[in-house]
Amino acid sequence: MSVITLQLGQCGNQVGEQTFSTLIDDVYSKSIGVSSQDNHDYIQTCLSTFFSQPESKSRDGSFDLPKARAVLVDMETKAVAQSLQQARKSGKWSYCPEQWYSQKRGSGNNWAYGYCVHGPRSQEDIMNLVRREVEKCDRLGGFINFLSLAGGTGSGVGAFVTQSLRDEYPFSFMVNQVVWPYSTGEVIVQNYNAVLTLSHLYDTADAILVMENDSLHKICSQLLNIKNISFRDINKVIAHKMTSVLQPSLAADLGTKHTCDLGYIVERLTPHPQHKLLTVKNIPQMSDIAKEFSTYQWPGLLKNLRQMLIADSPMEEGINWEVKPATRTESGHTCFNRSISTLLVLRGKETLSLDASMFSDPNIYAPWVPQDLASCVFRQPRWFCGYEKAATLVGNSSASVKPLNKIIDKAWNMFASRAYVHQYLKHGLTEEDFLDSFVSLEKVIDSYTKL
Amino acid sequence: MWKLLFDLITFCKSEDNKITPQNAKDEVVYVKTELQKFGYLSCRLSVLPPDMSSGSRELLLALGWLLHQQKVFDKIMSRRSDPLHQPLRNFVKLNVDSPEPLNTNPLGDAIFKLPPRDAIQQQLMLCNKLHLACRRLHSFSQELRCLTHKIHQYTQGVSLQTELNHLTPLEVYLLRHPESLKQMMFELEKDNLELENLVSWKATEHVFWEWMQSVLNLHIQESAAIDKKISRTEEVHLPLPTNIAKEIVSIRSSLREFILHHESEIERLDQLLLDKKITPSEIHVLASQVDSELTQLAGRLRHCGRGWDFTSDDMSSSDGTVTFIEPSSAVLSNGFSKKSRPKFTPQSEKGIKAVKLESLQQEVTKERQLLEQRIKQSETRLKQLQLDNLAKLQTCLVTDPNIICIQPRGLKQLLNK
Repeated sequence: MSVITLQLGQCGNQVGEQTFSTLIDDVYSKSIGVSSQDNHDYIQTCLSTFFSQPESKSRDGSFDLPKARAVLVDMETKAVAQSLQQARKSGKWSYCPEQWYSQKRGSGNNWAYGYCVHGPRSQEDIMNLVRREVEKCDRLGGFINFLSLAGGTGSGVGAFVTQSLRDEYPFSFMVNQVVWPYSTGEVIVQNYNAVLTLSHLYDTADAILVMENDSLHKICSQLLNIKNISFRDINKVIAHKMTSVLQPSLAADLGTKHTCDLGYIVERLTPHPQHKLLTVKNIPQMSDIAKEFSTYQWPGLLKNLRQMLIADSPMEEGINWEVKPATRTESGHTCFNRSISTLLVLRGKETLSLDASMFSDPNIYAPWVPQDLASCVFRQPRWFCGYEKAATLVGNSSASVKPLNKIIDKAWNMFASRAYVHQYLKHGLTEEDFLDSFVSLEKVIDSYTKL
Repeated sequence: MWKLLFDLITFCKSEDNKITPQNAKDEVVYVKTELQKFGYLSCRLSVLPPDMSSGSRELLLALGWLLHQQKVFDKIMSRRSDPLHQPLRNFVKLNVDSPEPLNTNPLGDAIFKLPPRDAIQQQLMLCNKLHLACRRLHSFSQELRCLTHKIHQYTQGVSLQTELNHLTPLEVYLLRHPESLKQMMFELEKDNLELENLVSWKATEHVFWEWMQSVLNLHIQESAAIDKKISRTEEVHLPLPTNIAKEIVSIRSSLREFILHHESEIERLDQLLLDKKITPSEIHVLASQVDSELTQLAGRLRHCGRGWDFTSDDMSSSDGTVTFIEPSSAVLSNGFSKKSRPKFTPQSEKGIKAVKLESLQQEVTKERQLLEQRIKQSETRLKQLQLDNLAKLQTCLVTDPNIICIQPRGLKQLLNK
């Protein structure tokens, strides 16, 4: 099964390139903890899913490198060129030399410019590139799109490209990994861009993986002890989260073969059409130095992870242990984070025999979710990125709504005074489009809060 | 014999849930009812005792009837599993343990315990899950096709079957896994045995039917004598509803009333049919219809390499003085009787074709224009209706402040077009 990634915009390209690097680093890491046959299977599955390997070796060996199944899109040449170069520098993998598309002028952080102008203009070329990748696959597992919500290209062109992908491949699975801007962000119209992108993505994508810059920044500073946090560090954290979900693992009802079946993940996590926002929580996360000196036990890790889910905490420090699944305020509102479904991925020692029944507790899920469809566990005995034990929780829960609420409030305040709206109107949007987006996101918030 | 009949009947019905009779009596009852359902009505069979003690001749006759009527041997032939041509997954399934099927929880019951809002959410979720599962199936089937194509491509030039130019996935599997050849041998031997049995049956079939014939003759001869001695044991019949006699009588009486009621109209219709005269134009229309049909058929015959060119000499007369000797009702009631059938004479195609083509083309253009007009009319009507409905919706919105209208994005684009 093959997964094709689309890297849209500057942020998307950087995150995508970092994800591929992390995948390759994990594949070639020294500490694995399983037999060489299992390791071989794991590597083969990973490489065949995310990379296309040339069938015949060339003479000088330079074309032996696995080529990422990716299409890079940006309206400026800088980010794409950077990604291509980084990949080549690593020496372990590369992008296909023709699978990128860029223009000379950017989108100027204007969603309308990206969606209404750049999108249709570049649609055919981008679709051709995607088609070339699809034809190389035996089985198209799905698309993963990396984009950010604040900019112009990633958000505008990203929304347009997702729509065209859906039109052209109606049966494929589409997971969009979106980077949520800082709440004190630099781009003044980031709220507009975010609102418009999310409302469009909700119609076309199957699942939207949300990564907030604020939480990632906290992780970098508190857990990884990085002093001057750059985007590169944040991208590394994002890549770590993504790869911990995407690397091959065993699922109970998928038989005994290692697999990373995107469709299965989507089917288990986002079965409800109104609930598509997913969050990823990792445990443990530490700097490379601390890794050598730390050991963990599974019960502790799982308990922490569960409390992170219930109390909606982005990392294992500062968890609010007071929140319990049955807590209710006087008026009857639930204080904890209710989920629709969760996916637990366990990697490392002793995972095959681990008991994860605390995640199937029906109290932490909405009452209308059937018990056996609520939680799902993937296990992988091979170590991940040098961690002896690592657990990841992908949850579809009402936690995603809080940042969304904030952004909508801010965007609405701006829209009420029609600030900067003319920039969007002059490229083809109307005020009704804005209103539609607000309305659809309000619906999403409503359905999540009523969980 | 009862057992044989029972097995045959279950084979013919090919049900998945095999009925296992609890005792001999149930078996007897089942056989009798099923035979009646198939259409074999014999009171002698139905009065046979349930302890299987007697009645071999009846059973023999029933067996012969069943074999012929249900075409049992044809069915056996068609259901034969051809080991070399079976799909690979059927073959491999026997080797590999399939994963346990998902336990079908009684979700249905659980739904009723939820409040309606939650029940709707659950339904929505399950429905969407099905959609996603379908999509996964689609991608799986695509992968299967892709890989099969690859196998065919890579084994081009080598083949074990004369009609193909490549190896099938099953053959490739057998080549790669020699230990499965044992299983294949086993299946082939089974199949061989079946085929041998079928061949020997075919060879000696006539003997069986001759025997059946003799039994039947004997049966008929002795039936006159036996009829008087029939015992009044329990007859097993198809479950008929008890009041069927009354129903039949009541339906019959209602039908009679209906006929009486509409008698006058029926008489009028009959009169109309007799009186109706054909006008010359109608004759032309009918004739041209006949001509076109016959040219078509003749053309098809020509394609098969036989037949001749059709021309309707006596139909294409333009003076309109075609008369019929018979009354017109005969034409209508008999279709096209012999007197009105045109002669078939060999003649050149082109002349006829040209005339036919022209008339056809004219008709086609006329029809097309009509259709286009109709399409335009319905389009304008549709748009008008849409606008009316929108206006009504707007008035509703204006009058009642509590209503919020959220139009789906796709619909708006449609309307704006």
